[in-house]
Amino acid sequence: MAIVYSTRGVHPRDRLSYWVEVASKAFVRHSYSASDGPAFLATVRADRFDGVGVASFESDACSVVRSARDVARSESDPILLCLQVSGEGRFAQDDRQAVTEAGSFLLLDSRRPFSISFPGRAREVAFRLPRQRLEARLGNLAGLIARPIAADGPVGALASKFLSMLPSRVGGLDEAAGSMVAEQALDLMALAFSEMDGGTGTVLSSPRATALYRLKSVIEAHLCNPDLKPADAAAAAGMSVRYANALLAQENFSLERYTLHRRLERCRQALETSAQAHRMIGEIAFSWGFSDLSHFGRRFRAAYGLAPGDYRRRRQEAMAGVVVAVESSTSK
Amino acid sequence: MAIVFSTEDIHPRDRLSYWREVASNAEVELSAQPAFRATLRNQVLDNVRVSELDCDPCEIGRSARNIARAGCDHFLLSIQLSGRAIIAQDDQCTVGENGSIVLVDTRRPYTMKVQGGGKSIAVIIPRRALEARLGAAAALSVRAMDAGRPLTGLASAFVSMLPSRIDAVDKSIEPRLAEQALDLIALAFSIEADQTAVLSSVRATALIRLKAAIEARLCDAALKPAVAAVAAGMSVRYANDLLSQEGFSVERYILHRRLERCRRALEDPTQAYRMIGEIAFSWGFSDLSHFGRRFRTAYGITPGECRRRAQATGESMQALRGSSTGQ
Repeated sequence: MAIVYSTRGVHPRDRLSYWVEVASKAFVRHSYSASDGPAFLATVRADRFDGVGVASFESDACSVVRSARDVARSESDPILLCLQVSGEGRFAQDDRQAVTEAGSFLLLDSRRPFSISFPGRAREVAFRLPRQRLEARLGNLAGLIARPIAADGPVGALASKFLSMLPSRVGGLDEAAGSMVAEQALDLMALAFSEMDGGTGTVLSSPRATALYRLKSVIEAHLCNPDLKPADAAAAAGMSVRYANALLAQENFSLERYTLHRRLERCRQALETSAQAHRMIGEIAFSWGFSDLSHFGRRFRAAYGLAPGDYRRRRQEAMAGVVVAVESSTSK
Repeated sequence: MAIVFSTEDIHPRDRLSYWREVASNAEVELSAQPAFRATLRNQVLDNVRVSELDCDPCEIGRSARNIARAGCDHFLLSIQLSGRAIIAQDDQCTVGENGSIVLVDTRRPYTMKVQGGGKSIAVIIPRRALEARLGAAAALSVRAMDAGRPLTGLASAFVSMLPSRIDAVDKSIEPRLAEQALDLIALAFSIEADQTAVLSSVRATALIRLKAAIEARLCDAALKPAVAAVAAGMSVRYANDLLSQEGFSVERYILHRRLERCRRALEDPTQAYRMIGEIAFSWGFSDLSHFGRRFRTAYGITPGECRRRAQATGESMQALRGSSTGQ
C-alpha cells in the first residue's frame, strides 16, 4: 500500500527536518535545503513492488544533496531513475550535468555523490532500482548516468508515459502481477536507454572498460571477505588474473594493491563517520577484510600519513558541530 | 510506414463504395450511411499490425465467407478510445468504451457496431503469439476488460501510444516493443480477466505466480528451485508438477529462461559491446563453460556464433519480418 507524507500538517518550524526524514526514506539518504524554509510545502507518496521502490514527489523549490558521507552510511546501492512530471530538475553527478523537463528522465548512481535542484515547484517520480537487475539488461551503467532521455524520442516517450502511470497503479497489485510489471518496467527502461545515441550503444564504454567495471564490482562485493584472493576475484569477474592485472594497471594498481586500496578507503570512511565512533578500530579493520592489525596500521599510515587512531581524532575534531543527515532505512 | 485510407478527399457519393473496397481488403464487410466519413491508418510493428480507425457510425462484420477466404489466423484486439462499439460473436456480446480492451477471435464470424462514431485502435495479433502467453485465448474472447483496472489500464494506455510512435522507432527495437506490448496485454488478461472464463484458473494462476517469481530472480546466481517455489508460495513438488505440463522441471525452466535472456542479449545489436561472459554472469550463470555447453545444447550453436550470426543476418531478418507481416 502507498504511504503518503506531507508537510502540510507540520508546523512550519519543523517542516524541513520532517521532510528530510520522509524523503530520505522514500528515495535515498540525502540532505535538503529549501529557499522558502518554513513555508516549504511538499508531499511524497511511496510504494514498492517486487524490490522496486517508487515515490512520487511534489515540492516547492529546493535542492537535494547526496554527499560522500550519505553514500558511505547507506546500506543499499540502488540505481535511481528520476522522471520529471512537471517543472524542471537540474542534476549533477560525477562530471555530468543535466536538466530534465516534463516527461524526460535520467539515471543516478546512489553509490556516488550527486546533487539535484528544483528551481521552482516540481513533480517527479523516483524509482529505486536493484542495480543487478538493470545491469543485467544494460551492462555497464557508468556511461548512462545523468544523461537524460528526452520525452520526444519514440521509445523514450513510451517509457516515460508507462513509468509515470505506475505510481497510481502498482499499489493494488498482488506479488505476481507486481513482479511482472517490474520486469516490464525494467525492460522498457533498458530499451529506452539502449536507444540512446541512435541505438548503437556507442555511449557505453569499450569492452575493456566494461570488464574493468565488472572486476571492480566483484572486488567491492567481496572486500569484507579476508580470504579474497586475486585469482578468485578474477574468476568471479570471468577473466584471467593476468587480464585483471592488465586492466588495473591503467590505474596504476595490481589486483592485490587495488583490493588493499579499497579496504583502506572503506576503513577510512568508517573512521570518519561519527555514527561509527563507537566501533573499535580493530573491529572496523577486521570487518573490511584485514586479518592482521599491525599490517593494517602500517598500510594505513603509509596511505594517509596518520595512524588510524590519530586519523579518527582529527576528523572528529574537524567535524564537531556539523549537522548529521537523517538516518534512513533504505532497504525494505 | 503507415498506410492511410481516408474518405476525406472523396466525393460523398463515392465514399461508401471506396470504403467497402478498403474493408474487403481487410476481409470484413461494412454497412453505413452513404456520406460515411472514416480514416484508417495501418502500421506494422514486428509481428503485429496496429490500426487506428476514426469513423462515423457503421457496422463492421466478418462473415463465414470472409473467414474462408482469409489465409491467416489472428486475434483482433480492439481498444475503443471514444464512442462505443458493440461487439458480438457466437452468443456473446460486449461493449467497448473508455479505453476498455476487447479481444476477438477472427476465426469465427463477428459483428462490431460503432455507435455515434469514434476512435479506436485495433491490434492484429498472430494466434500463436497470443496463445504462447495466455494458453487457449478463445475463452477470453468478446469480454470487455475495464481500463479502470490497474493492469488493463496500463496495457490499454501503452497500446494506444503505439500508433503515433511506431514510425520513429528504430527497426532493431521493433521486435522488443511488440513483445512488450503483447506481454503487457497477456498480463492484463491473465490477472484481471473474469476468472470464471479461464480454464483451471487455480493452476493457471499458480503457474503465472511461479513464473513471475522465477523471472524476477533470474539474475541471482543463488536462485534454486526451492527459493523460487517458496517465493511463489508453494512446494517444490507442486512447482515441478505445474511446469511439467510445459515439459519443464523448475530447474530446467530456470535454465531455459536464463538461456533465452542471454540469447536475446547476444542478438541485440545495442549490446554488442558486452562480453559474452559478462552477459552470462549477469543473468545468473556462475560457470562459463557450463553456460557454453548448455547454450550449445539448447540452440545448436555456441554463444559466440549466435552473436556473429545475429549480426550478419540482422538486416535480412528485418526485411523478412517486414514482408511476412505485410503479407
